[in-house]
Amino acid sequence: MLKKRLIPRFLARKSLSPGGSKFDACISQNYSNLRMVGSLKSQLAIFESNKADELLVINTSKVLGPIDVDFIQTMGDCVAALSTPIMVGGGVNTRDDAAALVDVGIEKLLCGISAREHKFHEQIARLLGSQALSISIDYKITAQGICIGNTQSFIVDLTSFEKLIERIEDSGAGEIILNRIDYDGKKIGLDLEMLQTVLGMTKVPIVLASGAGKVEHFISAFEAGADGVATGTFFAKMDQNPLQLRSRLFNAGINIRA
Amino acid sequence: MGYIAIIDFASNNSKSVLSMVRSLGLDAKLVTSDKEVSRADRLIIPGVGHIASIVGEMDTLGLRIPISDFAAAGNPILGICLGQHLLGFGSQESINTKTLGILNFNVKKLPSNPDQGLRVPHVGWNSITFSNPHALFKGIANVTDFYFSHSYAITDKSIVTMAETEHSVRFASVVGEGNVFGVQFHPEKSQKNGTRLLENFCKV
Repeated sequence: MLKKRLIPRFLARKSLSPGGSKFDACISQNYSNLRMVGSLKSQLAIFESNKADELLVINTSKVLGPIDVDFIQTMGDCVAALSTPIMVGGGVNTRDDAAALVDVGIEKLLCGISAREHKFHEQIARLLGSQALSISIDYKITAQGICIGNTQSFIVDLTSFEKLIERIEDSGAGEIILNRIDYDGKKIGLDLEMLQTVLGMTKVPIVLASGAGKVEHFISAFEAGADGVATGTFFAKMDQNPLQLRSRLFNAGINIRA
Repeated sequence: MGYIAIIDFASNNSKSVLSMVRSLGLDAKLVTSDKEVSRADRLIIPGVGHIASIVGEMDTLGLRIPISDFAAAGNPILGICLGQHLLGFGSQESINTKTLGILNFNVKKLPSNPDQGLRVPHVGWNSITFSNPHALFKGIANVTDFYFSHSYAITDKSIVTMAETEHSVRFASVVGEGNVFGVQFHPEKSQKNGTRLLENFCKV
């Protein structure tokens, strides 16, 4: 049976110190307030040795234009050194961005959503297959509705949200990551309500991100039907690693790699 | 002792396979030409993407006949994920695409069953169960987890099935006959057990 996935997540930031590692691994709150936890390469290696099921890296160095060559190089080095699947997101907006990452061995891309990106998603899914494309829905819940996006946001009601999910699935995406921005780094629990809503709208696997702070949060997310949980703060700030968490989940009856 | 050739299709995971094989201390290189294929001792065909694009690339590179000849000469071949699908008779992913037809199987879309939490693509770690011991499985316990990432699989019973995995239905996660093998999962992304499987292949 397919196992539930524990996915350590890091934001990659250009290293401020000269020499040595070119990228730092950071965690965040509300997707800002970046705090460095180590060099990106060594953090990923540590989490592979802790039996992470997948690793998620969000590049924060790109503003406009193509993805930083140093970042591509760093990811290539990580692929060569590791044997764990790595998903990369953050500024993956064009075929060239995707091709550059795929060329160094990254085989799963995480993209954001917006109308102009829809065609791009179709291209990626056609070229690389659905399993290579995850879509991140970065959102907050406000009094006005579901507020989607971090910097450039828009508000939708449940009907248009369902249409958006349909469109994501139609474009060929193979996974949806529900990333509740206002829970990021707060350790207050994962958004199970949104998980339930989206599970009923799509057939693709769902990963929950942001908010995990206790073992119970993982248990309830997996029991509710999440395929994976992505978290940075839980592992970096709580003196927890995937090995410890895994045995507690296993003992709680969650179907996870032993 | 020659080298292990890893076919370098664009948009595939050849580099991860290359670094894993090299980490075993073996001589391996990425190849794109018929000469490089025919001079090799062993051949690995990685694959990510769509069956029609990988077949198109294979034909553009003129590798269809060299790969078939390589297999017919008794040299070991390992197809990974889409590389596995390439070895069979055809795939529902693109019914008009002519695959290699070296192993007797067909590839179909995995059915999903969201009510039971069985979603497609099948992405993540799942166990393989083999019916008989084989040199390919040496040092790997039966019912061991490997990393999968796919929507199509060998869901029909096939005489070349060596191990099975379950997701909605049972499918052949490892196939093989004689010197030709295919795995649906990604050994290059499957940590310790994946390394062992690749090492075993390099010794069969």
